[in-house]
Amino acid sequence: MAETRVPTGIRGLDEMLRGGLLPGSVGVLKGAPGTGKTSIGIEFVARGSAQYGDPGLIVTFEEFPRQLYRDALSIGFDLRALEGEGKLRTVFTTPKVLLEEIRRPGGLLDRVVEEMGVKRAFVDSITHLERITPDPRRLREIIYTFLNGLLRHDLTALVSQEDPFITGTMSVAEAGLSYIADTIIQLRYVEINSTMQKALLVLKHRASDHDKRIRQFSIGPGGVEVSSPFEGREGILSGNPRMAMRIKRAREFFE
Amino acid sequence: MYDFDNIDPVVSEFVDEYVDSFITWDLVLFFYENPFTMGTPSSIAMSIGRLDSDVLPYLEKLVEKKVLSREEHVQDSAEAVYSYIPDKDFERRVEQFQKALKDRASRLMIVSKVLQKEAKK
Repeated sequence: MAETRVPTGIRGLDEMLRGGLLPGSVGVLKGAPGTGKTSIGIEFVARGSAQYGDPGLIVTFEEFPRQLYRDALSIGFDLRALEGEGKLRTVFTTPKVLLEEIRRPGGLLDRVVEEMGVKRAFVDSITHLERITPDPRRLREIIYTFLNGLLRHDLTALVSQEDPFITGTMSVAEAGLSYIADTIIQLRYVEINSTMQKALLVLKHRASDHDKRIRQFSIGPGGVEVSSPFEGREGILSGNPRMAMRIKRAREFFE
Repeated sequence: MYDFDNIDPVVSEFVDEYVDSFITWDLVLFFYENPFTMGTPSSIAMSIGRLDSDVLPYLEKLVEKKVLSREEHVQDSAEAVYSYIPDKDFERRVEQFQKALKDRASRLMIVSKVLQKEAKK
């Protein structure tokens, strides 16, 4: 029997995830500012509401909803219209308030699931939970509680996490999130021929096969599109790739 | 002085009923543009670039007028949490208010009205 997946609806990404996210799982979108975490998260929830009949919840801690509405329109999604139809809700709040609401019986999370039947969620960004405590052990407990709160309702959730650096060394385990999450999608800037391109890699997809290639992706009026793998380059994840040795040698031979 | 007879009566009534200060003006527009916001006085103050202590009394007034709801969170937080639940009629009036603010003459009249209210305190 084919396993059920929660499709993101994002062109190219579901193929990489072999159909989509696992139901009732948490995926992390990791990347530097501007790499597209919010766009992917918005599209995941908006398509869920509009295309797949999954009402959704977007939680934002820093960007105002009016900014998200504008950003969503630029990639083809009218969040306000979906809210008007009762298919989506965009909540602007603080990490501390949200954590209390998740813990509290009859809190926000319980209410949106009961009232709207929310099935998908996007939280932007989980890095802000660091505002609650500087203690790494306590932070890990908080993140664990937070994610379990989402999973308690069998939601399929994406959370964004900020990488501090545009290029360079990639970090993996902030506050243990990489161990707790079921899926990790890494977004990176890549400099090729003096142009910044965007790369996407599925680093982890628990209990599932996934595409292990590093693919290019773009964000446009039709949404996010994940396209072909980077060919002929090595060191993509460093942000400063070089031509693959075999390609370089071939060029030198012909020259 | 400005002729308040030329201001849209719907807008004038809205200002009379709800907008008793510039902070309330900020709060009303903020919640209209960011519905489903849930925040503490400090987080809301930060969002509109004001002081917590200045914002709190006006949040309470909006609770009294049933524009916002307030919940006490007793666990970790000492601050109450204010929420805005959109109401179609209220939103229509805020939309008119926002539109009036884009017209310079109307805006000046509204500013003058609010200044008079602030002066009476």
